[in-house]
Amino acid sequence: MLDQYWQLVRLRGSGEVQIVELTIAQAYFQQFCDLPEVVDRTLQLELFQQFQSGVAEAGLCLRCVMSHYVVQECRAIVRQYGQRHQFTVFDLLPYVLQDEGRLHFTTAYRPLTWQILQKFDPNTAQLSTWTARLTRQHGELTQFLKSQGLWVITPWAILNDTSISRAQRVLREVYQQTESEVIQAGRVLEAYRSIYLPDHIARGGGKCLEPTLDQLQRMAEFIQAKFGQTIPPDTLLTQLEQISQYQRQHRLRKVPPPLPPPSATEEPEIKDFLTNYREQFQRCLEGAIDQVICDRLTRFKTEERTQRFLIALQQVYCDQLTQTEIAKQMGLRQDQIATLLQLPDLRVAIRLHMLTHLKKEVIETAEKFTSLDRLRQFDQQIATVLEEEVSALIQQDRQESYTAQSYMKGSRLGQQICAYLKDCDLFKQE
Amino acid sequence: MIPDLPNPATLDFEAIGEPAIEIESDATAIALSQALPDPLLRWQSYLALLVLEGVKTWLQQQAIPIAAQPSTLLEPTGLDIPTASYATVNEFKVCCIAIANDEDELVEIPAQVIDQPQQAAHFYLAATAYPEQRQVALRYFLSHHQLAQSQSARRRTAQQTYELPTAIFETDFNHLLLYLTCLEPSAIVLPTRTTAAPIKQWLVQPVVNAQSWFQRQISEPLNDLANDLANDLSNNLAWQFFSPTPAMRGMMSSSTLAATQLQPDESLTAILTEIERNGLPIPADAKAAYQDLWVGDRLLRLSVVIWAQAQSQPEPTWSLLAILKAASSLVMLEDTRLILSEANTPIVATQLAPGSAYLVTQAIGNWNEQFTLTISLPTGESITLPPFIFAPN
Repeated sequence: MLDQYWQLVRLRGSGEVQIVELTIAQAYFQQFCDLPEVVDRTLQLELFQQFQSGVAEAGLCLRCVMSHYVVQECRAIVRQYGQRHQFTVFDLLPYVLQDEGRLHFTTAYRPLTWQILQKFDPNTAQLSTWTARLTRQHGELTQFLKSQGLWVITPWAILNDTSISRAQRVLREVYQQTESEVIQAGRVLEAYRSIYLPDHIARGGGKCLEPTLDQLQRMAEFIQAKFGQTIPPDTLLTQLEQISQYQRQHRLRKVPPPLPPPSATEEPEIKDFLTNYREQFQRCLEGAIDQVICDRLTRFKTEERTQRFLIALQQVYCDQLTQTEIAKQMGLRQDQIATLLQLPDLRVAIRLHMLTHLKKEVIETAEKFTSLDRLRQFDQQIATVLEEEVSALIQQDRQESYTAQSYMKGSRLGQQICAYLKDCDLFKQE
Repeated sequence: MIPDLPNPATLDFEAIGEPAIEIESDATAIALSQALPDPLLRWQSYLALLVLEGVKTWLQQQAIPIAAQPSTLLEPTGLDIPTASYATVNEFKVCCIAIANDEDELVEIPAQVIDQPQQAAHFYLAATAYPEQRQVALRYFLSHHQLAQSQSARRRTAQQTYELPTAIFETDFNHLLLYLTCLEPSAIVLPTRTTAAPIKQWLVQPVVNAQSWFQRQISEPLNDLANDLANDLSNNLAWQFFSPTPAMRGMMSSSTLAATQLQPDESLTAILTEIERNGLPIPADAKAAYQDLWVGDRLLRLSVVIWAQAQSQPEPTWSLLAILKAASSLVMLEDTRLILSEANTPIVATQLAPGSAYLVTQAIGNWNEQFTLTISLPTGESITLPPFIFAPN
């Protein structure tokens, strides 16, 4: 495993992972350490001391081994969340794996491994832990994960999100703590929530920072005054961290249940409705499409995005291309196309607009909207007519909407959107 | 003692629920929760206000015409007891409740919401606020009808709340959207109000910075004023501006009046004249605005007149004059009270005497002093407005 000290993991321009042997690092390392077996921790400590005293080669060796830790950490994140939040290790690496293995830097740019080394404190934790932690905290990476619906939560944000009674219930029921431990946790939390939360609001909210010594002292005073118990501030901090840790563990265990399958209740009633109100139906559909698409267009901030949206929409509905094909043509990823189009939202918005228009246009219909169930049935029926039954299948398997070409064909909504795009002059003349 | 737990230094990710809504600013939520006199009631209020903000943002994103009406916050009853905010969407009252980001199978609802008929809503919505992320995730909702049927499933806790199993809630928010836009309000019948209980509510509006009202020139068309204020923290389109002195109104051309769609309230002008006659001169550069608001089942018109006294000795002061009367031709309940507080301490409380048509109160303070107004009905219901501040830029 010692070869990790001169083997750098990096990304090729094409996005592939590559392991490069750095001869400078290898030469330095072999002269520095000639033992076949050493303890990583001791070795890293010595290398770090060398690095601090100005030996750039020692830093390079550490950066090599850290590049492996970065990859390990990304793999760990993917194992834990990748499937549910739809990303792979190749989505993460570009943010954090940027070390080119240069001994000296000619520009102001410093790779993450170098930055971590600057902050490294060997007395606090091992280099691997340190690297893992800062990889997870990396700004662009967390930004990407946030776009996938994941965020790093601090112990304090967890405590803020948990009421005393809930926290106590978890300690009692899940972790089988004794009643006196549960009561103690309740006191500590009451002090925390009485002191920390009002302060946090007064500060204007934002990131939840670790309680300050002053806050801990005030919490200790609170407990002393209310319960006659003396707890030193640092013990209080440890207890709070422990309670938060239990809550975190409990929250991680509970995986959200799978989404329930959509319930589809279809009735032939819509046919009568269509026969009676064909004209209104058509008019409302056209009006709704116009309104929803125009509204979407106003929300794009750049002209480029607006044009992309219109082109992608035309390719979906007129050319019946799949999102994968569109992504290839535009040089974007498929999920970017999905985000751009947001077809499920578009369909829902069109249906809602139709219903609001219909409500105005057809008084008899309006009478039907006096019951929740009837309204929902009605909405379902309109959806069915618009999307020719296929939508139910699509909803069951979102993956299919990327591939099923037949889906858009023959869909009334699809035809109408296509006609709309052809009719109107939304495209910018080149 | 501690089971196999990861190192506290480990940073774990948590999933944000779907659909997640990004909120632009939590400034109003912070300012309003900060205005609550009891610091122990602020955090849960902040969360309920964030959820409200999230719901409003979500509705705005739908491109569905939605009639905006004032929202309110139910004042919590104690530390750690969750609270609710109320939005009116089209004609539906939506009660918004903040819940934690865990997969607990119970939703906790403040007891007031369920026990007090006047707090009943057409829909009850539970969402998780992520203050650090400025995001809100919509989680569950149910209609009043479904809530009423849940009697056997819910449990009253020792914390003045009810726990409801998540199983009785719906999770597809497209359905809620559908109901809010297309359903006839008559489809959900709310219980009739009984004798009201003492319920404290806060009006959810941005804090008014009187200074930015005051700085405006009267000659500027008033709807420009409203537009300018749109980018200001003190903006509040709920307020209708009007000219406080008859003389000033005379100076405005009729075309300006038409352009601003100003609806001068004749009786208000008469009240102001009466106040002046009783010995309180209103400076020509005073600024005035009113808004109509519901307190319990009463629609009231609250007007405020603001002016600054830069030359006051030993230091400059500002003045807030508030007038409360019934909106339209209704009458106010006898014993209706208008309470003016400074830094969370009530300083003046006026009570409607038999035969009077309006209540008046005035405060004068230094530029760093802020005031809040509370309207309370003899039934015990009250509503408090966000603070009025005077902060020179």
